Amino acid sequence: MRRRRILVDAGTYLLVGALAIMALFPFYWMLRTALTPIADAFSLHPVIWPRTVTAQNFVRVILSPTVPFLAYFRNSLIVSFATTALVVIAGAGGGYALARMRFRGANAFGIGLLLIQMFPPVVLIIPLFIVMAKLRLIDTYFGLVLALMTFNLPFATWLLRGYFLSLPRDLEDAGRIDGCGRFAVLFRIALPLAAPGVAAISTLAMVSAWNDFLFAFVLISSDAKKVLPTGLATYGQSNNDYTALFAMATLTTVPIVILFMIFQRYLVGGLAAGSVKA
Amino acid sequence: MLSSSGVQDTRPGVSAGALLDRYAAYILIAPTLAGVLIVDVYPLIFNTLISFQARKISTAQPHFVGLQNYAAVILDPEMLHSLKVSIIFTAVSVCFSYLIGLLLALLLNRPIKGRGFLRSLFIIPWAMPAFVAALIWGWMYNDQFGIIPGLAKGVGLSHPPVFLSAPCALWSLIAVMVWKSFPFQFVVLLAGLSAIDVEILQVAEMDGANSWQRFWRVTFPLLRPISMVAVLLAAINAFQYFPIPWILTQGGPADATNVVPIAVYNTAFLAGDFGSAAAIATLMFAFILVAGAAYVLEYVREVQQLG
Repeated sequence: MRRRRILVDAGTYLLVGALAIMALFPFYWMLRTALTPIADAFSLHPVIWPRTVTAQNFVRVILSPTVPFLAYFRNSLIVSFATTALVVIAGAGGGYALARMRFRGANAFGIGLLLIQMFPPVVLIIPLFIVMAKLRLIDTYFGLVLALMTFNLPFATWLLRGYFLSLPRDLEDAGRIDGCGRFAVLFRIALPLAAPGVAAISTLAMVSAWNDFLFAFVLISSDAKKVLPTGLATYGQSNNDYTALFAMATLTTVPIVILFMIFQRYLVGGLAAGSVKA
Repeated sequence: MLSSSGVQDTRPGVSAGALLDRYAAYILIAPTLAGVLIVDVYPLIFNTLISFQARKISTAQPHFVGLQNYAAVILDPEMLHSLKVSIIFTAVSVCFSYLIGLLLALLLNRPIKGRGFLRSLFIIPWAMPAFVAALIWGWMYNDQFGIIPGLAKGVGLSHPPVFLSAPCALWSLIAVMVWKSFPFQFVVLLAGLSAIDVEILQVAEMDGANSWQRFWRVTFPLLRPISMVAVLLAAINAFQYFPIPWILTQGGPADATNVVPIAVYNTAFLAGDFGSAAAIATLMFAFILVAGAAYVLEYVREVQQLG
């Protein structure tokens, strides 16, 4: 029995190990390309382990005036912070009302928010493009932020609703009994309690805005305003400078991967809540 | 339950504070409601309107043409081809990512050492931005310097296929999509597995069920509801997915990977035909809604049967 158990465990590790190698290899290959000298990366007989390791690609993408990495990075920060701030401020109110208050149309509104998250971006991109062209919002950060709200606003509101629902309501009830108004309860009791969830959901919204490709691709045309996804994709197509490209990709990806790994449980929790309670 | 009215509401309009309280729910949802009406609902309606218009990127005055765009799109063999490519891309990638996710969830549901760490490792493909995934896979597939052809040569294939060219391109894209989306299935299924009551499995074991029978008779039926939700969400996502196909092949070579979202993009922004592109987008959305609704009905029917 014991031997059988050891055998099964060994088999499990073997299979999990093989899958782990396949899952992580592209990530490794990004790092490996970013850390090798150009000549090594363009070998006609690529090998898995690098012969030499160098940080020069990272230095180059940060310091070289010909690589617009820092400009793309700044643009991405502006756009994703602005999107996150707008959707979390609006979504905290909407999510709280959905979680704690009864009002006419509350159910329809909640289901609507779930459905809207399923809207394919390509269904919205043509009308958004036409309207923004009319309002002269093409190639502006504000236009892109509005477009990014299409998904992030219902997404953040829905997750915040789930988070408020998961909090005990005793303190809020006590506040009401003590004569606090609705807004005092929200600002002085509920929001401070919800701070960890708000932080997590803000991060998820930020990650999603940071990763968007389609809206930035259609709505931002000038190179100076490009964000990382479109900037790097263009850089990859117009230069065969793969070592610099993946140094930039590494700097773009690593912080996002870490944040996502910390906060993804809220995503799955929200999903479970969505599929059970909706 | 608290109602939305407080004590003061028996004398409405007494003070600004009481009024504010009375309409608190509406005040709080107003920004979200206004936001989704402006950025989601209005564009969706406008898109439908555009789909009934002859509207080019250059025309000043679009005019109503009824179902002409739809007729043209439905009769276009290239559209039928795009739909076929999208269905293959979606069905095959969802199927494989589900199977890999399920296998991994079963493996890591066992009490082995380091499973918390392993669990977070497997999330990495999901966490990587899609455009980075596309760039890195494009580089790995590169026919001159890529590591995948390199490894293929290493195991004795003297002429490995050119992965992003005609016969292989769609399958190469599907492989990337499987890699990108299996962690979602894995995480959801692992959550589903951990919610299963261990006692049920112990009872089955005492009744003499071997592990194969325990899986098919107990575990899998219990996982069915959450599996169906996960598969539905993944299929909707894959069907409308743009960045990976676009960055890797832009629909090529010769339309071999021209999934529907790329067809919409090309029709709108390369050919400049907003009317037709909006019609394709509307049909695509309708297809998702109809397929999704049929699927949800099936799901509800099964749940009711299970009681």
